[in-house]
Amino acid sequence: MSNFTYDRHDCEWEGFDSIESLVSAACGYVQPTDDLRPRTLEAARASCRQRRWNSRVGSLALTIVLLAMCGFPHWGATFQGEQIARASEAIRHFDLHQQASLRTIRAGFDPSWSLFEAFFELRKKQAALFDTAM
Amino acid sequence: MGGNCSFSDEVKSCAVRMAESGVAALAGLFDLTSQRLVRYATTITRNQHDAEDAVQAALVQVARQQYRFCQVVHPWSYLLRMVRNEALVIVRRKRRWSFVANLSDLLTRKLVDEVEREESFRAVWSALRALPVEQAEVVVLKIWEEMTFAQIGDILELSAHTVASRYRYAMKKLSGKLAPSVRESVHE
Repeated sequence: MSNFTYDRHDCEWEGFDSIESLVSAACGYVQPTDDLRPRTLEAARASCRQRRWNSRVGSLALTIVLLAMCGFPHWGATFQGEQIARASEAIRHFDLHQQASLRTIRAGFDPSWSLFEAFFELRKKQAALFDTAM
Repeated sequence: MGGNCSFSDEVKSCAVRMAESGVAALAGLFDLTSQRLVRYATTITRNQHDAEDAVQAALVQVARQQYRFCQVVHPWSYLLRMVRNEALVIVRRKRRWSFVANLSDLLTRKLVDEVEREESFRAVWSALRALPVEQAEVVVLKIWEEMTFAQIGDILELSAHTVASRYRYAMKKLSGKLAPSVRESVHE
């Protein structure tokens, strides 16, 4: 049924006119208390302040998380890169015969055994470097 | 209905002002709507203090969501619905559905030229409180807010038929309760 029909019916209901006007006259009888206005405005201000604060803290936290997500892999990669560079440098300068001679002099090993030990140590360092690079 | 449309337009312009200048413009919306909202909420909560809490909560929500409020097509209906929801939340929390016989919680306006009519005003409010809330709120929206049954149906999420039926029942009950006041006003 359309609103128009209802609106017409609203007016056509007989017998309620006097009651409607009596009720209508009482519309301004109840008033809000005096403290409602300042109370509401202060609550709204506080709520908006809180919302702004939450928003700022949220943005800050998000920024930190994003920075951490973007930055840490690079920092990690940089640190890892330095480690690899240092290790590969050490391997490059690893003198197999010098290390074998040192072992022979210090520990009194047989030169062939010292060479084996030095070679074993070099392979271990290379394996560690390979693991880090992966 | 013309009055209701212009009032709705005024609420709309308040909503636009709030979107432009923020919470500072809430005072304008409060001044425009608070009395209507309080009397509507009072018919639901049956206690003015609770009604004012509901109005405050609704207006704070509006201040928080000022851009959404500005985009609403019928902000006055939207605001009434918000207040209704808040009032129902308070009522559910306090379970104060029982009929409050006296009107001691109401802050009333007593103008000098209306002193003689105060008895009839009190009779109206007492009669409204004696009605079931579902019927009382239809009466308030129909008579005081000058809304059509379809508009009331939108707010209460009911069909216009149901709203009209509730209104009819309410008016029959009010006729019985307010008959002496009506006779007095006719004699005057």
